[in-house]
Amino acid sequence: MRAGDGFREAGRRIRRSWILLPLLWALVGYVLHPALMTLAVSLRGPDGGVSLAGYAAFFTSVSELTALRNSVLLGVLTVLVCGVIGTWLAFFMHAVTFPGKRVLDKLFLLPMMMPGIIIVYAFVQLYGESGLATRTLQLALSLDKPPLDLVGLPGILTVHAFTQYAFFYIAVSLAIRRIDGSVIESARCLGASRGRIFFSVILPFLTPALVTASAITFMTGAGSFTAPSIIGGSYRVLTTRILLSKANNYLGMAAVETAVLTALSMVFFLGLRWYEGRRTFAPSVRAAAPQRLRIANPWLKGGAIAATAGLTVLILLPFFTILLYSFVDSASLMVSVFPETFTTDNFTAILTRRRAFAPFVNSVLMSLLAGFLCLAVALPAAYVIEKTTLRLRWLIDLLVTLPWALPASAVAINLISAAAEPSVFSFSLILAGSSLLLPLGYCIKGLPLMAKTAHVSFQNLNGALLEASRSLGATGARTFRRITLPVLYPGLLAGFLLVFVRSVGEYATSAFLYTPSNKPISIAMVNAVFEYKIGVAMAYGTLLIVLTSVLALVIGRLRPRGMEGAPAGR
Amino acid sequence: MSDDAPALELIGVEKSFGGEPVCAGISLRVEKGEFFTFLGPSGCGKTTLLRLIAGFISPDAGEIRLDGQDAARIPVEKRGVGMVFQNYALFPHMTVFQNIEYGLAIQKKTPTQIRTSVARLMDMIGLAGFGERRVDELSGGEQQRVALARSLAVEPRLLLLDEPLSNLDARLRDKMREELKSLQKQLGVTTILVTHDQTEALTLSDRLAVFHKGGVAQTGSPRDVYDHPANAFVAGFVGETNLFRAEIADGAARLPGGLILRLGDAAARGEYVSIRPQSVELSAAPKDGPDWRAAEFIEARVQGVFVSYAVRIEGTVFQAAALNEPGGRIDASPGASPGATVFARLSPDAIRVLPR
Amino acid sequence: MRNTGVVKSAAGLMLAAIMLLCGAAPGLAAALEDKVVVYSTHGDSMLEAVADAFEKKTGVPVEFINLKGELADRVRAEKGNPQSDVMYGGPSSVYQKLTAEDLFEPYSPSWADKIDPLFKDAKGYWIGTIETPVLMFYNSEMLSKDQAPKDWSDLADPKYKDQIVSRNALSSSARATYSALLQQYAKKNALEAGWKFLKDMDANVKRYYGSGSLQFQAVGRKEAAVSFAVLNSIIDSIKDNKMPLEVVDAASGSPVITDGIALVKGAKHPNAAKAFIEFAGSPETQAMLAQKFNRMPTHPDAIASSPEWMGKITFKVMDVDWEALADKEAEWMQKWDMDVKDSGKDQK
Repeated sequence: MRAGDGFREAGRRIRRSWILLPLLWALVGYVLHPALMTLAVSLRGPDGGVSLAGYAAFFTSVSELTALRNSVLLGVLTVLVCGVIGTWLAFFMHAVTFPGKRVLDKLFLLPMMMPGIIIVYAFVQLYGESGLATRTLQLALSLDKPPLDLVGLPGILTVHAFTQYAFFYIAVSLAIRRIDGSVIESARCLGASRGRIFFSVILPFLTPALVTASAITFMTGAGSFTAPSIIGGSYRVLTTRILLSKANNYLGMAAVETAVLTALSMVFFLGLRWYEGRRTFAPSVRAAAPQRLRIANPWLKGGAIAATAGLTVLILLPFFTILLYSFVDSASLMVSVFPETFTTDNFTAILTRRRAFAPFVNSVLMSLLAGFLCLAVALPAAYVIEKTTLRLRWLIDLLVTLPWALPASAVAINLISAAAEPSVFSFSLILAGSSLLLPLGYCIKGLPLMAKTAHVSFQNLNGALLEASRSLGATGARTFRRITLPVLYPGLLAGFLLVFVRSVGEYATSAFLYTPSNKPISIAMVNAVFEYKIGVAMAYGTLLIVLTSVLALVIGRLRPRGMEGAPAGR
Repeated sequence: MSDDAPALELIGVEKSFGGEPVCAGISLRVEKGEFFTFLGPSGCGKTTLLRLIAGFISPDAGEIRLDGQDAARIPVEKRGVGMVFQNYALFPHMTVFQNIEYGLAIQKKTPTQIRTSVARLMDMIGLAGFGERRVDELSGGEQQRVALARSLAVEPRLLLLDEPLSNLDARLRDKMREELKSLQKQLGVTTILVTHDQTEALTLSDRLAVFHKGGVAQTGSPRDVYDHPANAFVAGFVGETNLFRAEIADGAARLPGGLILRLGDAAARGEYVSIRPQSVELSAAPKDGPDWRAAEFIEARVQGVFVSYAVRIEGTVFQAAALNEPGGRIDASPGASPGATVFARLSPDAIRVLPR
Repeated sequence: MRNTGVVKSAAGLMLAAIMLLCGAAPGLAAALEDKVVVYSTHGDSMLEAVADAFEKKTGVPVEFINLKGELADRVRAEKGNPQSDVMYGGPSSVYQKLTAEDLFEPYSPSWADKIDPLFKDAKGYWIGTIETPVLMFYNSEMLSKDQAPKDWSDLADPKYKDQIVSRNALSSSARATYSALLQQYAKKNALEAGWKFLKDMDANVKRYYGSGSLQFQAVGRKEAAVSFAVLNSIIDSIKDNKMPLEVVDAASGSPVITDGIALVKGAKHPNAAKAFIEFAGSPETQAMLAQKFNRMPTHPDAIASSPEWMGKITFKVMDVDWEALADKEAEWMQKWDMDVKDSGKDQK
């Protein structure tokens, strides 16, 4: 109660203040309004009136229902696969110490930072019917038929597993560190077996992390577009259906499909919120120093190390492929699998031509802008959600998370429509130039991530710290600058970085929103692929990996020493 | 601001959360230089009152006066109240020095002044040379001292301590209690301590207020409150006591078990009687005189300086306490095994008749 | 006031973001009359060549993007506030559709008279500058000329099971081809037979690709022998990538898509746009595209100076009613995607 009172008091003051207005304006204008527009289109009947005809058509079409079923299945399977991999890696990294562990920990986060589109191409070049790994295996085992073919549901799942396990990895890693060692010890004293301890003690500690990661993974998995569209083969999902309906100018059906997909994700989102609200489980007041879990059995340990080593190779292989092919002449890649000669021409082509290099500058600037915009919205939003008791909290919470449930194409198309006609939301004049639209799109797509990290940061911000500052004579502004920001900083920085890296290689929204003056890297990359210059595309990918790694490294250095270990209070 | 105004005056302060009254019309005065304690069980509104005084929340009704000045319009940062939080609320991203210096830097002191003040304070709390340590490298006791030094650095007119010792282990708590008292004496800063620990309250305070259900049950010096509790709640909460509901009539109290006690004050009116354990005299040998009765010996427990006994007098169980003197313990005398008969005296002057 | 801190910082970030943007988007600040914005389906290198030549000639910089399949969608979405001046590339069926949706402004450049009426809109809403035949081709290291399909109908022959790869319905050339094939049946009042043919063909298709390079890579790496694509891509693959491909002159003819150009209604830079259309369709430019990018011209003067291979490769032209197709394509492709594509395969 005590720390909360001050915030509640502050909340009461906020109610009359103007902070909510710009926040609500931004969220309603760029998240809710577009979503409602899509809903409105989906409900428009043939005669222009409100009608459920579109939904009737959807739910009676075998093909559409298949797509719906497949999307659900894809989401669920993605959760399972990513859950197993991410949780496994988190436990392994917690239980085993070895040299280079910190580096590996960073490497495990790399896939999340890579744009989906380049990952998919790397996977095709690696595991496709005539991929590098496929042909190597075929040669090594002298098989008649290629042993692998990255297509359909297994193909999409492979890509999803690779790009999305990091959600679980991060969440579970953090949760393991919070496990109260004394609880495990007391369970052991009470005679619980190892298995029992895992299910009765460790798992309940992890459940919140697992539930959150599952909900996020489901929404991203079911809403994934890039992988299904490129390697989905005959596996039909809602996201690809939406694009085709749009291409065929069946805008009503596209809206229905979008609404169904959004509703599907919303179910999971609301389930998550319900769970979080219902949850009364909290670690005991004074947790004992967390105890390191250990694997004692040498066979088990050996097996665990082998399995993780295998996974690590699988995780690094796509990066290796991108790197390798970026030094190979595109033409030879069209017919041969194993490169014979290497060249730096691909890099020269990018770095020496103004038009080829501009996408780099564009993407970096727009992603920075998206990051700042995201901060500007997520910071007050998380504050209101976490530290006040305003009635509108749930609405803001819903709105900042909604973009997760919205397909990229829906966000994009509605942004265009909203900006085309001057409205209260579009700054009428300024936005009309529309170079702002793409960073805005990035911002909206990144909002849930940023809000989530800001939310966690605010949870760490003990109200007593702020009160202590105030009672020592600091004004609100000074408290914000000297205490609030520094304590929130690591979380906000992480969120900013996430939004940046997710934006810098973002494809789905970019494809709809880019303009001649802000062509991003992902588009340049895909265009290169379209011109049969796979080597150039891979060179773009390599440069992107270098860029994100350097950035992560630099920002990691900027972070003040030991921030995460500090007792930020309970 | 007048010199003779109390450091703090509360007039009918009310505060409720969600319709639930937490502070119900509290009025009290704290004089300058006084060590004043808010004592009460958890949830009685004492912490809320402390936060009202600090200005983190504002009262629904009533007035808070600091040095005779209405505090309603003084924002937290201008009130000049230093607060030490239960969990210390040290700034996790700063060193010990930066924590202590935080408030000083705001006061527009020169860097030299700041360094001198901080060094003096760190010396005073026994943490000289710890300046560059990060706060999470400190033990609980050290963190506590830093929190105290940080609040004292700004030379507050009022020092508020919110259960500052509750997170320490018993031995450290005793030590810090001593240090706190001597530091307060030395600096003469008006201090308000919030605690639910009656020993802490009795040993540290110049005066204390006992809180009960959002109101002040009694205010007074530790001796006043202990010896003359205003009601049954205070008697029960401050110190150990034998507390019984009783029918009071004609200078005697009839306990539910049938025991009738003679009272010192024939005119006393109330619903409860209280008698402190140390006022229950025991003897192994029969004693003559008024108010001595036979009692059944139940058990003895050695508590260090004291021995506490349980005896049954005419169906009612009493706790008694006596000094742990060699040869003076009745349980050491032959035949004093459980169930044996001993003798007890309930002095009429020691029996307090209390309202509810 | 605790909350004002949050507000101030939020405002500060917003300001910083806007300032950053001004640096990031030169397009916002630039004057309106000194550029032309082109939305296209053509590849970047070809657009760059045209843009550079235009800039050299007029001094007006060209901003272009290759929107591929999303071109029509984007132009539609921007109807209220067009950001583009010229739409360049994309099949005539799309131009017809957008003309009907009132998205173009009629404009007749000086060279328009010499263009065959087949390749342009009668009222001047759009004109074709490039002819893009869609031809079948095969990997000559996998099939001999005898084994290769002779006509489109052969693609439904079970002997080609898993030997065919195709672009998916997001490719405008694939869309045009599938609908053109269907139209051939429709003209004979045998639409149902047409759907059956497409279903049978679908049963033979090993994989649909979202990108041309993966499609060609599949043929190049012998994952499948037969495919169909726009001629210039096939020629590029043969000439630049040294792929062993042979082109099939289908017995019933091959659909020839006309790639159009049009002035966008409400264009912000109408004069520069007109100059660009004048330039991009001129016989000189058409000839340049023929020489450098293997794109077949529509202008007789340019055809005369086109590269050697264009004379060598002969193919019969399928009789397609593109105007009728424009009406039907969306409906047919929606049905194809829902009911035909992968319908016989397990939905795994």
